[in-house]
Formats: sequence, structure tokens, C-alpha cells
Amino acid sequence: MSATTHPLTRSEHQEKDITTLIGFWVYVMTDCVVFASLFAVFAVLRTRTAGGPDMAQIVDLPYALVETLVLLASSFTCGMAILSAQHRRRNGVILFLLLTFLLGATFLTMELFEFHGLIIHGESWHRSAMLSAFFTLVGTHGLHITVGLLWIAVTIATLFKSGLTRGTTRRLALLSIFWHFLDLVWIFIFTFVYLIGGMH
Amino acid sequence: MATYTPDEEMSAILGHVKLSSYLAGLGISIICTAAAFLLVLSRAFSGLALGLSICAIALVQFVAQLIYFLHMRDEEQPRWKLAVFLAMCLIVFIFVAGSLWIMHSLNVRMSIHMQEQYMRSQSGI
Repeated sequence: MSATTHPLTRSEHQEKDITTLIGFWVYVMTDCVVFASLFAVFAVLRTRTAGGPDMAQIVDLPYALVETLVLLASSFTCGMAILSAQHRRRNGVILFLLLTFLLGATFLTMELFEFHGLIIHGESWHRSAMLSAFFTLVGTHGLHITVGLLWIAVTIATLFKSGLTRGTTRRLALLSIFWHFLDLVWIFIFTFVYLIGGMH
Repeated sequence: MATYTPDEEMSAILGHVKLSSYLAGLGISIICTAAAFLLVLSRAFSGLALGLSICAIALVQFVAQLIYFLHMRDEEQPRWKLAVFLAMCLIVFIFVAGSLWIMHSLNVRMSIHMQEQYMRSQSGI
């Protein structure tokens, strides 16, 4: 190989990585549109309780605050995993991903517990249009979290197996975008559904 | 092939992230979340003012996380991520504002019985 081909090869690799990153970013942005439509549905149906409970009656604000902080902490630990990857510390990446997984799983458990509490009190998605919109919006976010947890688990497994290679690093970078995006969506769920919905 | 260092190779996809950036994002997010929560709990303002101030706080947190967690400010030219993001914002605005506008207008102009009758006549139930 001549010396002149090296920078070219490198930039080709990097070019490909950046293309992958932008492609994934486009997916994430379209997912934002999905959530936006669910937010619009919730906003429109917010007052349609069909004689059932309204948001203020089913929202437990301190509980939602803890959920929010747990998810925020997981977003931060995910960033720490990226930082460790930049310093080429595989064990650091695994440790922070494990933390992210635990925090994410805690969040999901809390959400399912909240859903369970509503359903056993007869306040499931059948009850009213408002509750249908609530369960669809928050449930879709929870589904994304579930996929994210699966992804984290797979990434940890591949890191154990093959270390910080090109492939695992790329997967990690995309995973971090996805996870931060889920926290971004949650800001608006917390604000519009829990804080504003829980007023009155 | 592998004459370039792994660090150089990875830097393109990971970017040059800093601990201070993540700490700033975490700090601002915690402050915003706590502020919004306390505002609602204390009922510092009445209805609309409270709603608007909470929305403003959410927007601050949103931008802070975009900058400090997703590093949107550090993107090099051409800024495709920013372009797609702005396109998304436009679509979301049309979606949400349009839905609210139409549904609000419908609500104001028609009584609930008129709405029901209209929907029945349109759906063939």
C-alpha cells in the first residue's frame, strides 16, 4: 500500500460512518413525527372522559417525577458510555451500559406498575377516549424503551464477545442517539400529560 | 488497511464528546424538571400563565439536551442532521397546530349532538 492511499481509506470509512449516522438520525426524526401525532391526539381527546376520571384524578405527580429523574439519569449514564468508548475503555462502556439498562428497566417497571394500577381500578384504555389516547401515547414510549433495553442487552453481549470494534462502536453511537431521543420525548410527556394534564 | 489509529477511526462516529457537556446537560435538565414540578405544585401562577411557563421550561430542557446530549451544535458542514431536524419541526408544527386548530374550530362551531349526527351521517352507522 502506498502512503497516499491511507488517508483516502480512512476518509471513506468515516464517510460511511457519517452516512449511517445521518440515516439513523432521519429514522429518529420520523419517529418524532409519530410521537407528535400521538401528542396531537392526546391534546384533542384530553377532555373527552366519557364520565370517567380526568387526568388530574389519575396522575400521581411525585411518582411521575421519580420516573422522569430515573430516565434522565439513564440518559446521562448512556452518555458516559459514549465517553468511555471515546477513551477506548471497554469495561467502562459495559459498566455504564449496565447502569443504563438497570435505570431503563426501573423506569419501565414503574410505568407498567402505573398502568397496572389504573387497569385494576377499571381505568384502562376501554374507559374513555382520553384514557385511550393516554395509554397509546405513554405505551408507545414504553414500547420504544423496551426495544432500547433489548438493544442495550445485545450491545453489552457483543462488547463482551468482540470488544470495541468498528461495528460495536457504531452500534453504540446509534444506540446513544436512540436513548437520548427517548428522554427528549419523555420531557414532553412529563410536561403535557403529567404536569399540564394533571392540573385543574 | 489498518495503518490509521483506532482513535481516529472512531472519532467520526462518536464525535469529540466531553464530560463537561454531559454534566451541563444533566444539571440543566434536573433544574428544569424540578422547576416545572415545583411551579405546578405551588400553583405560583394561574391557569394559562402556569401552562405557558411550563412549556417554556420544557423547551429549554429540550434544547439543552439537543446541544449537550445529542451534540447538535458540534456538527460539521454540511449540517444534514440540523436540516432534517428543522424539517421535522415544521412537519410536527403543522401536524399538532393544525389538528388542534381544526378540532377546536369544530368544537366551537358544532354542539356535541351536531357532531354526533354529522359523524353518523358520514360514517354510515
